[in-house]
Amino acid sequence: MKSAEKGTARVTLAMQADAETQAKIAAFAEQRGCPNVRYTLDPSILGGIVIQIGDTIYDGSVRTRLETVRRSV
Amino acid sequence: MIDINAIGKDIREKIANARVSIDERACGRIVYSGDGIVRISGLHDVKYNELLEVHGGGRALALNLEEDNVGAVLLSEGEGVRYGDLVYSTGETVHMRVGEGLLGRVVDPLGHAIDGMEEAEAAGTRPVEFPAPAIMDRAKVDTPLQTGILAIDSMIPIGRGQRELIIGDRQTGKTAIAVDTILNQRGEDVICIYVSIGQKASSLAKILQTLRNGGAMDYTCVVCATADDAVPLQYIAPYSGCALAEYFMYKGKDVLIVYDDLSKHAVAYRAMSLLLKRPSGREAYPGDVFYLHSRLLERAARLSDALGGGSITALPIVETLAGDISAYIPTNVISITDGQIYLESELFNSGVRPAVNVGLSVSRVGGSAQRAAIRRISGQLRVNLAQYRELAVFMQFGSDLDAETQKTLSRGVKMTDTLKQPQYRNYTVREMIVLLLVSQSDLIDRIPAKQVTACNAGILGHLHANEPALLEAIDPDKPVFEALRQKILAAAEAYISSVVEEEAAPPAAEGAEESSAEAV
Repeated sequence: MKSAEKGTARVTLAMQADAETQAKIAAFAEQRGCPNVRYTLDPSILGGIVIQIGDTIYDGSVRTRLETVRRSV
Repeated sequence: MIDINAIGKDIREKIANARVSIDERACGRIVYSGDGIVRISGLHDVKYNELLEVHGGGRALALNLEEDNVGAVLLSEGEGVRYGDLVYSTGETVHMRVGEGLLGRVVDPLGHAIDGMEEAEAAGTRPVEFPAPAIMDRAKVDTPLQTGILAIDSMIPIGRGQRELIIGDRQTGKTAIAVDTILNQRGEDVICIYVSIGQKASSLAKILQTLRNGGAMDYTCVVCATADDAVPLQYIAPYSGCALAEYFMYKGKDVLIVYDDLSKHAVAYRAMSLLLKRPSGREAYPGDVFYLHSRLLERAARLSDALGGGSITALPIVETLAGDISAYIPTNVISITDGQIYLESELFNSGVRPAVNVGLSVSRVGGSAQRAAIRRISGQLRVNLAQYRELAVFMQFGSDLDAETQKTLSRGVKMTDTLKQPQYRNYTVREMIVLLLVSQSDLIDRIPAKQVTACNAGILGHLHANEPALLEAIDPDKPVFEALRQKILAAAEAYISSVVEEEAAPPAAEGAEESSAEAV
């Protein structure tokens, strides 16, 4: 499982991204050594973007932000 | 009045300050989940004992770091954890909420209130695992911690900063001694922490009620992980309690912490280790079960004056099976602690309560912490009791005994009776001194057998009512000088004479029955 996914950035979005965003994502992934990008749609993250590269997750989803706010209040 | 605008402003500020940037976190995926254990692939940078966050809100503790996966235990029930779920590292270890606000409360091992009231106010958090004070940070144990129990304070004295094990079979009064000691700290400026590990919720409820009724909750915090809590919570409970104790100790306070009990703690750790597939050793305990308890009990200490002079006195409890103190966990904890109070069911059933076996119980450091007056009198007590026990064995053969032997025997029985003490009836230091003086004098021969308990209560009552100045005159920190000793004995004699004369009439002592020791 791991070897097949090596070099693939898994991107989760709430809705379909436009070409400009996709280019930015690809550049972001490329920088971190990931030539391939795989997209998943998941409305439950509400908005924003979640990118997983290897063992690292870049979480910019609205759901996580709201969760952070909820915990700090 | 609550100012709604102020609250609104507060919330807005908090939202503005909340960290909402894109966070970069290490993550892994669950590849196995069962029995509260999860295995996670990924998470290569995770540290030992790190707190993990499972997608969906659960939390786990990373305990096995292996080449291609991480073994972790779930801190909450494993429901809702699915194969493939994401797990994030948090970069921090488990922390306990600490603060004065936790006194009088019942909290779980993370410091959250579970007594049905609102959340306890915490001053901060402390890591649950924390290094023990270094050698140079420690001072000598020289201040007594009075348990209020005559048998213990006279012969097995406990000092502040000491670790004294309470060991015995089930139903021998181990918890009773610990609870009595907590109750006796009222007005002593000692903070008490009672850690309940893997106990029945019903017994805990009873203990809580006792502590509340005795007014002990004002200075006590109960940390509990009952038998139905997740095993990892039972595992961290004593460390959490200790973290709370350390908070007070480093502020210069004296703390008493009771771990009730460490055998269940070891069992919880064994369950966890076996499920994590760690190699098992003797009695199926993992190899580090000694370290499990030694690192916990090493954190009890008396700090040097430079560090504020605070202390943690630990009273761990260990339950034995059929009096077997050579089992694995009992021997481990005996060797770690600075002495043990050994309770026996035979003594308990024959009416000797507290059922302390004086021969097997020791206190390795407490002697220097004993009050001077008690130390002077009780030195002889141990010897006399040992002599009596030796003779008592021969007495069973029932041969003719000379007068001297008979006297030693009858004194021994009476001394044993003097050490009997009902639960929740703690003696003050002065009362102890009076009882010890009487039991070590010739006066004891005049008390009729089987009436010692009642007579002792009577003497104390008589002194409190008629000679309060005499009691006041006793200085616990100096040996009792001869003139005072004579006065006390004279007062006791006056009482005994009055009782013994009535004695010609029917015996009126109410404690006579319970003090009838059938077999000693």
